[in-house]
Amino acid sequence: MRSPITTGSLLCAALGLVLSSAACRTVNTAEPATPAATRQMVNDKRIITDSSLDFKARIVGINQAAVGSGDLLKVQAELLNNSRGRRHFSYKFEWFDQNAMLIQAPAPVWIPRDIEGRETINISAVAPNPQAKDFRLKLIEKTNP
Amino acid sequence: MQPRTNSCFIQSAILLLFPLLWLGCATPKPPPPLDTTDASRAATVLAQRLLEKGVLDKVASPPAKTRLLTVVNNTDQHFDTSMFGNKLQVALNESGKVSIVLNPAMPVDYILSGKILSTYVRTSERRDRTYTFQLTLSDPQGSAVWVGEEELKK
Repeated sequence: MRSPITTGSLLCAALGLVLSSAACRTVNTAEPATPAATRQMVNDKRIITDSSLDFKARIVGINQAAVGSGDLLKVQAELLNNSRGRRHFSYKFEWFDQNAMLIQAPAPVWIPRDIEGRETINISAVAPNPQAKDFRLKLIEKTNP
Repeated sequence: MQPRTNSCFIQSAILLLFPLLWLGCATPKPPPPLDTTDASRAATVLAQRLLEKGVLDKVASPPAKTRLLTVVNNTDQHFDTSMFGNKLQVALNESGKVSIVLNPAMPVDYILSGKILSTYVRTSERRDRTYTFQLTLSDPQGSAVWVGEEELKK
């Protein structure tokens, strides 16, 4: 006796599932072709251990500026979601003094963010004190939205 | 050949619709309450925004002497607001731009007050709670010199 659910029907079902899940929202954007602002870009070094996350939240570039009274460093990273659906991730900035020692207080915290399909977002942080001279940005995939 | 194709489509539709129907009937879970991680996150972000504005540097003799009032919990849930206040105090003290004054009789440059609010949206599909952490820096005369807020969706 043949099984009522054949291999062919399972393939059809799988195809249906794939097609239905592919119908995701993506973001269209517009911005000045010649921006008025100039960005002080950071020459960064990247270590990618999760290529899937790198696809969903790719670092396009990092720029920095002095804020407050000019003695605090602010860092901003531009991220792009190359996938077609909304993705969830968390990030944190760690700060280092001029001797490359990690500034422990206040303790760095993971901050969750959502990014829509093909969307570009900016994440930023301000140094905890004027002694902070360098930073490290960490990104991790967030499984629970 | 035709009946076989129809059978494929019917079986596919059943296989495809069953998980969707099951998901649709499932009762949405209530959102989790605020926790210490949320308080740390909100305090860190708000402290950064306050430092970024540079208003704390505009005092005659830095660091700015600041009194931190008790953070008010205006949500319908029990939450120890001291976690938020303590994290804020650490972040501002470590910046070197603020000196938190504990003695109520001592004159200060600024007063920092905070409030936590929440809104709750419930539909057939989802239950969302949004917590808003508000922070206001005022001068001793009561004029707000900086206001910031951070939203957390749960």
